[in-house]
Amino acid sequence: MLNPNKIHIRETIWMLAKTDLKMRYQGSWLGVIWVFLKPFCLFLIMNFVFSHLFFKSVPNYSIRLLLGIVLWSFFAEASMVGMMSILAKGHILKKVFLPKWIVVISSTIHSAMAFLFNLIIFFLFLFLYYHIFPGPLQLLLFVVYIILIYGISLFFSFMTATIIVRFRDLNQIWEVLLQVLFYASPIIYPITTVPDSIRSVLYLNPMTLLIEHARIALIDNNVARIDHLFILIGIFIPLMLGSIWFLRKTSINVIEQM
Amino acid sequence: MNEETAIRVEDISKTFLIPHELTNTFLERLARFEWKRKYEKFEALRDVSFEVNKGEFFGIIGRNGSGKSTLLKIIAGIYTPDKGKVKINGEISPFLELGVGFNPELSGRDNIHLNGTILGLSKKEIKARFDSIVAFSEMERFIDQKLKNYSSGMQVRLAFSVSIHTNKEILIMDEVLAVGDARFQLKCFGFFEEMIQAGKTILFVSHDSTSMRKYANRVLYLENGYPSFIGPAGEALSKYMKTEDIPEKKSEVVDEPKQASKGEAIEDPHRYIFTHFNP
Repeated sequence: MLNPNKIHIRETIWMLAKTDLKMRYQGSWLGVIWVFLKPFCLFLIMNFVFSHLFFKSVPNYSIRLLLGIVLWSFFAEASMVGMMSILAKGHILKKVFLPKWIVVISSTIHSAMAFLFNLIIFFLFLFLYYHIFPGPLQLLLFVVYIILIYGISLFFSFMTATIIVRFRDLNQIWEVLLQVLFYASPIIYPITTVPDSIRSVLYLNPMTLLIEHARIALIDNNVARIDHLFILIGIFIPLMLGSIWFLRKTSINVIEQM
Repeated sequence: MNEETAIRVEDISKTFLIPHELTNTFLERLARFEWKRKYEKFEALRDVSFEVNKGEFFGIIGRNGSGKSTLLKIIAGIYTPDKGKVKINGEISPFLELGVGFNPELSGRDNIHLNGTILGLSKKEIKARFDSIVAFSEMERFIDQKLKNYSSGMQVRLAFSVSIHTNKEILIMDEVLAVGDARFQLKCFGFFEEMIQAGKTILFVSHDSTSMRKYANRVLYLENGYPSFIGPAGEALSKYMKTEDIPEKKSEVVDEPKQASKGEAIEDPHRYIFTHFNP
């Protein structure tokens, strides 16, 4: 049933996101440091281990690793909080009607902001340390890749946010899957080190394609195969629409199960 | 729908499926070797139909578990009925199960902003009404404290104040009086009278028969999810008392200013409302 009440959608999303921030950092802006710390610790460890042991010969290995980790963290964070969003906002949803997609999207705002912060640091490294300056076309493509990564996170969030109400261990399952996917994506290793037969399997993971293409654009200052991008978009759009439909359908009786 | 109708409930039924064992995880279900859960059916509402007119104070009574809150949640759009329809003329301000979804970890101030937004107010409107919300709830001293430090009565006062300041056409009031003190109850009724005069509609659930008798134009008596009587408050209440075998007696709940001011001096509680309530 449709709710007769009108709400200011943008203000509501922003207000919910702001509340999340407040809860997470308890009013202290120093809390933002944690946002950097997690991916950069991972980066430092991985960089220490792998750049010296295995991938000495790979040019610009460190910055490639950093970009991979920053993009991956965004996907992992956003899909995780998106999944938990409806459950986490149960205390509100039980008392006031709110469109569920608003709740899901607002919960991912924090991940998006953290990602932007991390991206700034990445670009500082890229410009000041590596002296690589990607062209406008490359930057434009990179924006498309980011939108797709965010879209894929939302796709997973929309698909899982109502399901987890019935299966509370879905987040544990997703955490394990994320771990598997992390190593199935070319983040710590270059895709070129993977044998051809396995490489096509890895490309089934959309993050593989997006991370590789982002590296080609920003670090190699080149243009990756655009037809691959179009195939990905062609698969993504119907799936995204399907997930919106799915969320609408399953949110009808999700509140009474909480 | 008639112009004069505020809420029209058509033939609503709602059945809850209550699983026998609470298997809430994938692993448990796999471990049990049975995917399908066994359910017990609980019929919360059966063929409920009624209309509430604009400007009406409509009461709902019934025992605990008779479907009152379920009905209100369906009208507020939180639950979806299995069968039937709800039509609403205007916007709703819900006050369900003693709250509007406050967050205990946030301050009173932040909660007003958060819930005002959720209830459909713009940033500007909240800013303009903020002082009035705080004044009505009498929470000036505690407004920057976290909500978890409030007493339950204080929380309800603040929630009630937020919900009425949304200035919607229809108010859904579930057990507003349950934890508020006598003085606050008086204030609520003063406010309700104002609202009714302004042509707003109030849907009111309460176990307090005195206030029901005094204020409700009509009362719906829900008996195990079935609307067993709709009509004048007096008749509905005596049917309720008779069916549930409750001896009729004068209710103890205070609703006269004289009794309310026992021990503390309130000259005229309504005065307060008129001076402070300005949505």
